[in-house]
Amino acid sequence: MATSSESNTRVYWAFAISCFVAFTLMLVRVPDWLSSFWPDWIALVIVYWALYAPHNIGPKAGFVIGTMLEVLMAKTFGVLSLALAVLVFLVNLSHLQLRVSSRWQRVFLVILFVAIFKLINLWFEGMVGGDRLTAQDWYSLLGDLAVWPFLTIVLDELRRVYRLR
Amino acid sequence: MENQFRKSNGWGQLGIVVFISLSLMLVDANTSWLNSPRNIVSVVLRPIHALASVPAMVSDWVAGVTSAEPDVKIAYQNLRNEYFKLKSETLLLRTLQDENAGLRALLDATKRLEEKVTLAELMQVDLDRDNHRVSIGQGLSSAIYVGQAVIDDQGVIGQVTEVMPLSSIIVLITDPSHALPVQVERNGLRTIVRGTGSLSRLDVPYLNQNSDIRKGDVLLSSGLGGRFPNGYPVAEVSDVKVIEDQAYIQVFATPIAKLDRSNHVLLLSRETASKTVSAGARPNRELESQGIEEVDRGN
Repeated sequence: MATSSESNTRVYWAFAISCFVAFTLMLVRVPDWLSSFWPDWIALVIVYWALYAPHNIGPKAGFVIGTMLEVLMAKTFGVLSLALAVLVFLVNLSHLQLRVSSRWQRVFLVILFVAIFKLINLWFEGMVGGDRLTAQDWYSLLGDLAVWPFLTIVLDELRRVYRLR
Repeated sequence: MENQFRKSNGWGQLGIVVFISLSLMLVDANTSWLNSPRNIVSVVLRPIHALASVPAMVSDWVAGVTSAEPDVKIAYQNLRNEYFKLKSETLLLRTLQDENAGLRALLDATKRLEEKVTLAELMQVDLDRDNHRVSIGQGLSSAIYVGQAVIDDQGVIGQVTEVMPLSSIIVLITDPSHALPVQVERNGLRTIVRGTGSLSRLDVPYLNQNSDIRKGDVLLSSGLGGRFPNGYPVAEVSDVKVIEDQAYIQVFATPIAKLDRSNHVLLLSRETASKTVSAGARPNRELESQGIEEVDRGN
């Protein structure tokens, strides 16, 4: 029992650290030509943890991270948190299938989930008075596709350092 | 056993979270009740902002170091030339001012509000894609107030949003949550200019297919909404695109002020207006709604 709660704390620490880094990456100022391709770092990090630590990282964690992101990015409360919670939920539901599927299938499904996240996010953002959806909003999926393999390598290493399963 | 329990719990958790999110959305979109919690959390999350601005700071520093020595002489020459030019223009200005006052008196128009100018130095530049803010070294002690317009020698930079005892925070016109009412210099067409999160691009929304606007038009602050005085250059139209089947045309503009290059800014204050303006708590949304209203009336 004691060991299990200890490993839980370690998961939360690793999760917090990776989210902190992802926040910073989301806020970094990038050149204009890159900014629409800039990946949705936080969504990818959350997908990873929802996939490998589904008992610790649930919709509630997605909600909390989304709310923090809304404060950081000065967005309307509730939009990102809702979309992230749904994203975590989807990944949690299908984490067993995702883990046994091949690497390429997994990448495809992860991008699909992130696309659903973006759709929900942009949809509700439009409802609370944001901009109309444009093709540019979807370019970041290409960025997600490009960084996901490297992100998994880094986060696998982080998991190894924290001795998580 | 535990697995089963968690799985059945997922739906419940999602339901609760979705409910909370939807209510937060409703409250935050329609009221300003959540502003103070937001400010408190933003103070806690401040280190993340600081960390995110490090790469930009480093690249600025490198650019500064590599182009230091020879530029100083050229800059000095340029400044001297500009100084003499400006001095001669000021002489002309005085006579024009008198003439204008006389003409206004003849027309029975109200006197143009006198603007007091305060010079301030930038302390910290805090730019990321969704927050364009800079802080200056003047605050309550120098009678800075919320809503004060900020300009540089070329055009409008932004407005003061937060005043602390010894410093204040300015939101730039390129901040995505910022909008200001403007007028096209050529024909007086009223519209608003909205930040996009890019330092070199502003969005000019809500113009329909019949609007007379074209590339190269200069947009001046219109003075509507009472926050920015009228007649200061804001942006130059850089792109006008007509998209079929859309009610509005897509217009982009480039800011005229040196948003990322000036070290000093000027704060404009109006003695009479200062009291009423400082009461406004949330400048951005207020301003935006006012701007949109004005445009609607204009059509």
